[in-house]
Amino acid sequence: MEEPDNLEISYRNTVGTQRGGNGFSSSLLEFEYGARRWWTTSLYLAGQTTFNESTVFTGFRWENRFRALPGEHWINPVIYVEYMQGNEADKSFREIAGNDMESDTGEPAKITHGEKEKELELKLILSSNVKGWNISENFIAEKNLANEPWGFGYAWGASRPLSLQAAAKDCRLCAENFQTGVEMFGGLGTRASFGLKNTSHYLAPVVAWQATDHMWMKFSPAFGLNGNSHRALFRMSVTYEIDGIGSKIGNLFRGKN
Amino acid sequence: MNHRVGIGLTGLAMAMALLVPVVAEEASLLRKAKGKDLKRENPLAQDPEAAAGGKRLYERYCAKCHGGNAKAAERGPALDRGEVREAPAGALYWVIRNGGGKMPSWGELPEPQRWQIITYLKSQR
Repeated sequence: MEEPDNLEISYRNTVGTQRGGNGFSSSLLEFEYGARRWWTTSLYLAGQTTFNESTVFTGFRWENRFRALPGEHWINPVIYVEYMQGNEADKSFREIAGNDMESDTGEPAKITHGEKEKELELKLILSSNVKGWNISENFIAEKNLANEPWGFGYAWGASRPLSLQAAAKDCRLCAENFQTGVEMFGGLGTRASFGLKNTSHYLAPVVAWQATDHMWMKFSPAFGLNGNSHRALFRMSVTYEIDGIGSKIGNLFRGKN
Repeated sequence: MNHRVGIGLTGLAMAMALLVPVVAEEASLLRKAKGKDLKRENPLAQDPEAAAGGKRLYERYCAKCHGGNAKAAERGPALDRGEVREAPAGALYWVIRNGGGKMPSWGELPEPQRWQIITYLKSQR
């Protein structure tokens, strides 16, 4: 969850391999705002370049996360609701759900760009903090609003700072500024065919570095675990946080400095 | 949008209205810790290195609301006051872990780092 009144701006890039087609590089620009301490809202703009083909805008997403229980618990549930409006050329891999497979992204963007889609996605995110480890399990339900069945997916991740204690001296390369972990994510079929048949799955080590008090960088290569998956997705992100953006804008209108 | 999706969205909105917490502002969060939470001891209380590390963590995570050197800012109260210095370590730990009012939970911070921040706050004069 984002801290209240803070704005996080992220750029996320995914470079993927494509069997029987051209590789691609997709981009997501995210604006995430802490509306309340129990509510974080985000806007995403997405686009992709398929090498030797074209670069296209693939749509936007509006995401909301609601912390269900105040305070810290053994398991902290978060309810996630997202609306996506775009086209079938999207290759942002924010999640895998239903029967998402490598063959879906093999069609040329000049065809898929014209296939509009609207999706509603719900997630139940359960996270725990145990002895320095942050462990998170997501159950995903995704509904294409064009009368297609609900699709399901999962994501699981665990990460930990390299050092649980902060060093006395200011340093950017201290162990506590690095996080390492692992993620696993994939599809679970649809309401009509729930299960692992015709689904793709990935395993991804994760390394993150807090470069400054306001900036993070993250790198995570994801490797396909079956023949329906891309061989590799190289994911990286850069995030910058602006403190108290709402108050600052409010002060501008009230004539304060 | 078909009828079933509309019903689903309405149900979801109602469920969220029940689940989303509305937390009233507390006069002092420090009084909320009870029982064994209140009795927690700071394992890093006597460690000067921990206080220095805690100052760095404070500047990174807390100063944006509570001000540099814990002397208050627009969004949060000063933490260099006697009530905070004299508070049981367990009470401070509870507030950092759970948050309350406008303050978010910092449960994602590793436990030793939360104790480092407390060591720093208690070293403020």
